[in-house]
Amino acid sequence: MENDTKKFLDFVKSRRSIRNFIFSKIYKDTILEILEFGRWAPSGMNNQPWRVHVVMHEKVKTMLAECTKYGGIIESAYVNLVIFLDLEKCYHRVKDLQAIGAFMQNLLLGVHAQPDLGAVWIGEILDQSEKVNQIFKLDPKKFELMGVISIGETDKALVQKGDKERDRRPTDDFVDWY
Amino acid sequence: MEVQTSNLIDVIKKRKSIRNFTFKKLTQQVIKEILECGRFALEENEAQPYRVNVVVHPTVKMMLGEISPEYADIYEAASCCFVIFLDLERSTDRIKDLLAIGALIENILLGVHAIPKIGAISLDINMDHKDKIDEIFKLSSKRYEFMGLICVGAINEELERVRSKKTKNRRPIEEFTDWF
Repeated sequence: MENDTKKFLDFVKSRRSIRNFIFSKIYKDTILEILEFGRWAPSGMNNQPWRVHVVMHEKVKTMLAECTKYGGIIESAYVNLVIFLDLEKCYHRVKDLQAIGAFMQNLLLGVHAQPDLGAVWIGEILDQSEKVNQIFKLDPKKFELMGVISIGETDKALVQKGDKERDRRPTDDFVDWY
Repeated sequence: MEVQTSNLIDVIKKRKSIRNFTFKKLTQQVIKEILECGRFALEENEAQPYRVNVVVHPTVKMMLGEISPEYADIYEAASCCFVIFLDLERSTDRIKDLLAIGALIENILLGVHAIPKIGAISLDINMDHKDKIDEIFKLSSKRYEFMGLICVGAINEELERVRSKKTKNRRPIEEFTDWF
């Protein structure tokens, strides 16, 4: 296998969720670069049904943190991307949500591409979607919460100690051949 | 990380759907490598709520073609088709399940694109036919819900040049982003 291919595949496979952050500034250019990864995600009919709220303000982080048991992560992350489905752009529920999944995956890869940065996707906030819409004064008929991606500088000491490799199902476990 | 950020974003930007394949076979090792990328897509609490049926058999491709005749030629020329299902027994929450499937599909597409000379397309299948697809594989619709179909194969460069559509536009970042 060619060298560049191997590097890219290793890059995709080496992404892990990071939950421990050092408080260190992330510049706007870096955030824009991460968003650029998301921008190129595929979507059915190319409808790109995503909306992102970039949250760095302490007050807003605190309000978000109150909506999930993982609030500690949201507060310690320098920036949180709050992702919504733009309901006016939707055409098919299953396919639209898959587009958001691809968008988030690309954002996570975008973070992983930045030296020293890490991220985690927080889904355990979806049952508080009404409260989250309230924070941003967003009409729930127009925007539906999809999750939060918390981003910060990886606390390497804590990651080595705490975050053990999570178990992934081996490929053979979910693949059949015809 | 040795890979340069600029190279990575290039890989992601340059990925496009490939509709024209030569009949050349991909090795099982390559197919497994692609599926490995999918394995590391985002998911919550180790749910990984998916099943992938890899189809290389011409008869099974033909049966898929009967369900979506508009794609029959693509199935035939592609080396393999990945038929993706949501495994409802591993399901956690409808939104999270569908996001995980979307992430799986994107990682598979990126994995394909990273390998020279091969390409893929995620087909826009009419979801009204999902039970018929379960039937081909004798899967219970109660346990497995059809989610999507990706065709992978060696790129037919000549046909791609003639037939391929223009690169699709993307919304600028400021159009979908607000700052707080």
